[in-house]
Amino acid sequence: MNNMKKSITLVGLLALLFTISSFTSNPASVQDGGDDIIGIWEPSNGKARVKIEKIGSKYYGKIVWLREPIDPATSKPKVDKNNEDEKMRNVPLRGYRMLKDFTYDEASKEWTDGTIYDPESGSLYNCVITMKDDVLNIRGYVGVKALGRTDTWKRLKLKKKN
Amino acid sequence: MKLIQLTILCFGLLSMMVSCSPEANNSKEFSIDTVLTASGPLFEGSNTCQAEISSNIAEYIKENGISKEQIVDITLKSAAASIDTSNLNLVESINLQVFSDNFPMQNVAFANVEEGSQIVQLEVADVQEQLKAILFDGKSYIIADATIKEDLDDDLNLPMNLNFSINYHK
Repeated sequence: MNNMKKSITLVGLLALLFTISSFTSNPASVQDGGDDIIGIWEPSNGKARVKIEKIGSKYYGKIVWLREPIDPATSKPKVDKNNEDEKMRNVPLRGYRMLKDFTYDEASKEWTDGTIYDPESGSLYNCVITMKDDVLNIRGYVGVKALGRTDTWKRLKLKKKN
Repeated sequence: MKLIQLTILCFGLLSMMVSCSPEANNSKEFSIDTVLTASGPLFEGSNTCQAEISSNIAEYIKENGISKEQIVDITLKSAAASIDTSNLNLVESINLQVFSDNFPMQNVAFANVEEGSQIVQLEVADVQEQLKAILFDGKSYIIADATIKEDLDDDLNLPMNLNFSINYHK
């Protein structure tokens, strides 16, 4: 009788463990570490705010706020006037995707294979992003990563609109 | 005499080179009608409307008996967006971009939207790199970054007509 009770308890325990493990191993319930980058960020110069979002499997960042949204030369909203394609020079900088095509490398904890666009010069750089304590290290480079420049971006915690 | 023979030989070689080159000698235009959607509620500023377009193109070339290997290049010739009457004065600008899982996102068309416009003709980019590769790379997406003037509680739908030119050889 005692043996039977033990068996029932064991089966019950196993069933409970199975239930718990099936919950924790469900892929849908596991958050992708790459998604930690999603949010609104401010570069060190404070001139802009960039919203990073995920589209498909890649990460993109677009300018959502500019400290000086108006171009003093034209008295109109700033546009991508340095774009190599003349027909795309009217695209407003507010809303512009300056970070493109980043994928998250789980092993190195880096967002790689992306590019960063500097609208002030019209230059496009390869870019790799790392994150520590809600600070992004954005390293732009041409060709060799070691010869690049790193900027730090801080996360903005915006209040919800009522 | 030798000069004439040499000239004929050169012409012969030149014409052979031209006839053997892989340049496209056929062109077809095809259009895709799709609806790009951003799920609301949306905040004032830039919002991303999105649609997948790879299946439309695969279907088109299949229907027309063209194989992927025959295609030399694809270019976007025109893009037009329709604005819903309820959003007539809401959308400020539309920036159209394409990308796929393995190829980078690129701007292909843009328009500032005039108030009250129901049909918006977008200015198409001169520089269109790797469009063929993007469109045939598994899943390819088209997105429109639509800048809106004020918050919107509902979804934003942008019906879009895209005209592509497809250059291929037989």
